[in-house]
Amino acid sequence: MLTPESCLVLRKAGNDQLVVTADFAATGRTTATFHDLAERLRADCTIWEIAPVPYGQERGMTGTDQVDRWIGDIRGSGLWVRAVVGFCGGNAYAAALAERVARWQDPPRLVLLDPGIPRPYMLGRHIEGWLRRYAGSFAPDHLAAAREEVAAVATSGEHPLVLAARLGELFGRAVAPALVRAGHSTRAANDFTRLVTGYLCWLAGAMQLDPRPQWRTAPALNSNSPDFGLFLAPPQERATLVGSVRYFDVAHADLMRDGEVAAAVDELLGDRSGR
Amino acid sequence: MTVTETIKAILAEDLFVDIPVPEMDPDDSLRDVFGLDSVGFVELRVQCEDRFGLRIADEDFLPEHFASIGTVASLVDRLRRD
Repeated sequence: MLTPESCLVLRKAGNDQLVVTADFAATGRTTATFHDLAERLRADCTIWEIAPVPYGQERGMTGTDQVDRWIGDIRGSGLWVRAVVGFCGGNAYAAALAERVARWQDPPRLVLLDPGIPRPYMLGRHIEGWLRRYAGSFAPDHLAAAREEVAAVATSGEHPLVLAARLGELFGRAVAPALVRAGHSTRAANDFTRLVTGYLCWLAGAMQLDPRPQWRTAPALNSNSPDFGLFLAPPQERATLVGSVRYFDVAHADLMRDGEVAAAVDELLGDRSGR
Repeated sequence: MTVTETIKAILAEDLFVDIPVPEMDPDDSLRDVFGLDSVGFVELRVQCEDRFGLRIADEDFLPEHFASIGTVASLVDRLRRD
């Protein structure tokens, strides 16, 4: 098995079984990652996680472009894809990957962790979160101006990829200087701007994919956080958005470090027909 | 100064963590105990590159390499050998 260029290897197994996971796992985030979940899984399989396009190269890449990049390595591995597991916005990519894999082998199991359809407003909300976090490093009038600009861009109705690029530029112009005023180096502020822009472009790419046909038959494991997963969908749509759902009394941030959730994922990974 | 001591100095001088250097445990979580946020981890990466004169590629900027002072020191040792 070659080392994939577009995916991280979370675990290697001595067989041909592969589980592909989909998430944007920036180092240092407080929300649990697939690294945490992989440590808790008992399933005997190799586990990969899709990696974002190298920072600085993502602008203009559509969701399909990104899927093409991952699918090349997945197919080239020669491994049998047992399942694709998504988390949060990564579930849109997970659905697309499962659909593509099913073109050359039996359909892999698709497992959805806190699935929510990515929406353009989420791009602006992400930047607003950083403005809140570093509000103390802004002059009050500059903070108000930055907030107004984010709101104006976020509600402009432009294509998600354009929105992502504009908000990334705005982050570099408005928020990065605040990071420096808060004591960070200019280089770290610039590198972090690249990371944020990469995330925005990744999320915008996910918005271009329609995961609902694959989600409709897939099992979902949902946290108790009201702003995430199936809770983002209107109540009347939740029942039909996914094949089945199991709710866990655990927060979104802890979903992938919860033992019961890991056991449920293991159960789903083992429950495979066709092979 | 050893790699571990240098990383502790970075945490104290560049990331302004509240824990005094003599009390820094190399196995403690950088996120949960030292309180680093996403920007803090990027800062730690940048400062390690500067102080040790090496480059930490995106594929090495992973949670398992930046879990604790000890794991960062192991990464630095490996990159210095390569």
